[in-house]
Amino acid sequence: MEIDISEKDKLELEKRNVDNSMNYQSAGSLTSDWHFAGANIANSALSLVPSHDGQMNACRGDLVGAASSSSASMGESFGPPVMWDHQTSSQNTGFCDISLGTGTLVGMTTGGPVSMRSSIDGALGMGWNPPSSVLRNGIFLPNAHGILPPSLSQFPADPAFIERAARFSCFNSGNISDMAHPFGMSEAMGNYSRGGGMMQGLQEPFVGSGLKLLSVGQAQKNMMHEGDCSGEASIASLHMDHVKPEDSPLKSERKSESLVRSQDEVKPGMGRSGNDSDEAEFCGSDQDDATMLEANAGKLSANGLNSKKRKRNGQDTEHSPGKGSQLSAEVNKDGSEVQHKGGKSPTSTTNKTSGKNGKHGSKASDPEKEEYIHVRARRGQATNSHSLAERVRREKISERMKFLQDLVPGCSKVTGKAVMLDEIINYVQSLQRQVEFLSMKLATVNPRMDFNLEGLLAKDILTSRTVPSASLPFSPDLPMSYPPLHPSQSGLVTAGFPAMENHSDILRRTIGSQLTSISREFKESAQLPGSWNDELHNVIQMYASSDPQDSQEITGPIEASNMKAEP
Amino acid sequence: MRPPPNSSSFKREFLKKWLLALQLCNHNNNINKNDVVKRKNTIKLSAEIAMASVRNGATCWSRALIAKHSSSFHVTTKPRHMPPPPPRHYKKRVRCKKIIKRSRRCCHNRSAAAAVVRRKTAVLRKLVPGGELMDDEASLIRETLDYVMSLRAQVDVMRRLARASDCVAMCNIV
Repeated sequence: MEIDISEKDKLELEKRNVDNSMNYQSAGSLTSDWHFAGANIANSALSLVPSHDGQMNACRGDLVGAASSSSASMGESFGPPVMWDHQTSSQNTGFCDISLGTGTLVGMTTGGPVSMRSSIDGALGMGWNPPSSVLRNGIFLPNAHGILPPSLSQFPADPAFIERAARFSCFNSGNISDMAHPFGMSEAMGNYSRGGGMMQGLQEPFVGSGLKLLSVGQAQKNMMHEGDCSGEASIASLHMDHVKPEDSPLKSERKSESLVRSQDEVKPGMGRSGNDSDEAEFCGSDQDDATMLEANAGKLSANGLNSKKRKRNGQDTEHSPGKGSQLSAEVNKDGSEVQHKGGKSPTSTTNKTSGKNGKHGSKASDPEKEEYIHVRARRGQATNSHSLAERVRREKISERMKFLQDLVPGCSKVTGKAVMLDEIINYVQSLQRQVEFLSMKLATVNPRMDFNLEGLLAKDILTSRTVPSASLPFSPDLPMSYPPLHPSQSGLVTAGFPAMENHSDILRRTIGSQLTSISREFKESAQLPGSWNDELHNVIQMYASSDPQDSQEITGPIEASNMKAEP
Repeated sequence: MRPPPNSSSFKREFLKKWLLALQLCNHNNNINKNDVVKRKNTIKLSAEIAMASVRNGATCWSRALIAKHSSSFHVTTKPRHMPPPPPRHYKKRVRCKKIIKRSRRCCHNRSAAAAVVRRKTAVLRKLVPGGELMDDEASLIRETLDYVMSLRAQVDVMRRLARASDCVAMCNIV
């Protein structure tokens, strides 16, 4: 029976894979798929990784919104799986809890498809962007994950599974440590948790969100000898997913890559058996992955630390000589904040080296840097006078960066030179693009209009300088005369263009608003804009019979332009 | 004292000068009614020049802009109050800057973050007209600030103009 169900699930999963790969956002479909997630299609899961990395970030928001509904539906969806085999069900229950992370399904002690585990694995295969988002909302992407081969569904009735199920059931409100236990954390998991400051850094928000990664790390270490490596790997990814903050996609992609790799290694292990006897092999394979992951995580952590360093740079008024040391200071800070039980090695080494550099330099330049707490010169820094000048320079720069922060929208929170510079560059580029676009748009404006405008303007440039008075009073007239235009216009329109009455009113209103806005801008200005406003205003006049007081000199050309403007 | 780029008087002046520049451009070159791209270019060019001239050469970027565009059209009437832009120095300094940058890059590759910042400032220098001329990061940021504000004003004016012309065009169609 279980086989039948799993096969059916597989089929349905395959059916839905395409949909789900496209349609991360539909939480409803996700939950239903999760519910069916049978032996996943490993390749599809892996192939989803590259495509989804970008999508995941976008999907997260949607998934968040759908969390409640999805969890509810998930609860419902667990009905059928209850019928399933015990072994799988127990495991899956645990997965349910884990995946939900919110403990909404804590009550589910039985059921849960085999697919849950596979789905989790698949999620791992996805890389951790999507799973994190999924996890957050308590939805697992079922199709994501076909790493689990069908053989899982045929796990022998193992008392250990039931044991784990019992342990799963006590899993509460996202306490991953409990969740981790039944799966048995291998060394690989420990490595995952240790895997670099990145993980640790990720733990920060994770902790903030109420999930106890520290305990997870502990649990991982404790559970080294239990369970399947697949479970371990999944948990590793799970907690990494949980941990994952909205950090640079680059980091997450790298992590996902490493995870995928580890998943690949785990796959064959899982395929062999889920028994404890095979754990050693799994662990072995995972070890390689773990080391790989560690290396990546180390790199990532370095990057993360670097980014953190960069972010903090803007906070203090430091200087480039001090910056290197500043970075070291901040790295130390980061290390202290970020370091959790595992994963100290990569970050600590960087801390040490940069710290050393910082200290060496600071002795040379201590005198003038006394008032700055964090500033330290780099090793081999230039003489003191240079540092002074540099510091003054940096102060200026940071001051102006603050101005720019106010200027560039959305930069109030951002600190750190590199990020600020990024934002500034983006903003300048976007403004330049806007100019291009608008100039193109203006270029496509009705050529007659343009021509008239230019001709009129030329005339006005030449003539209106001597006659500024005519145009000046005109512009204040514009906003004032606009309201009276309306009734007259409407009357006119009803007479002349009954069908287009509404349109023209709206048009007139919009034109009027535009012109008033512009004219207000240019109200006190000299001839040129005033005359241009006059011209445009007179175009409106063409629809309204009301005559402005002193547009006599312009009516001539305006009429001409009207004639030309009308097709 | 030039008006700060945020004020409406700046926008007024900008529009004024823009239309003037447009006129000049169209007098100098033949008005290609059909070639949208060329028209767009002239519009953009004139807008840039106007923007720069409003600043009246008080900022480096405005001078650089004018210097850049002075060759593209033959200006019969030179804008007043503008300090002479140094186009020759511009090129020389660019070359010198490149050499200095290259040497700097070899020496200071210890701090990755500083390198990143340097890269980004290089990008910014390319974006901001006349950015290459500025050795000092502080002045670069100052110029950027000014340039951003002017750009914003320019975009604002152009947008309003475009909207108004859209409305008028719609009226015409109606």
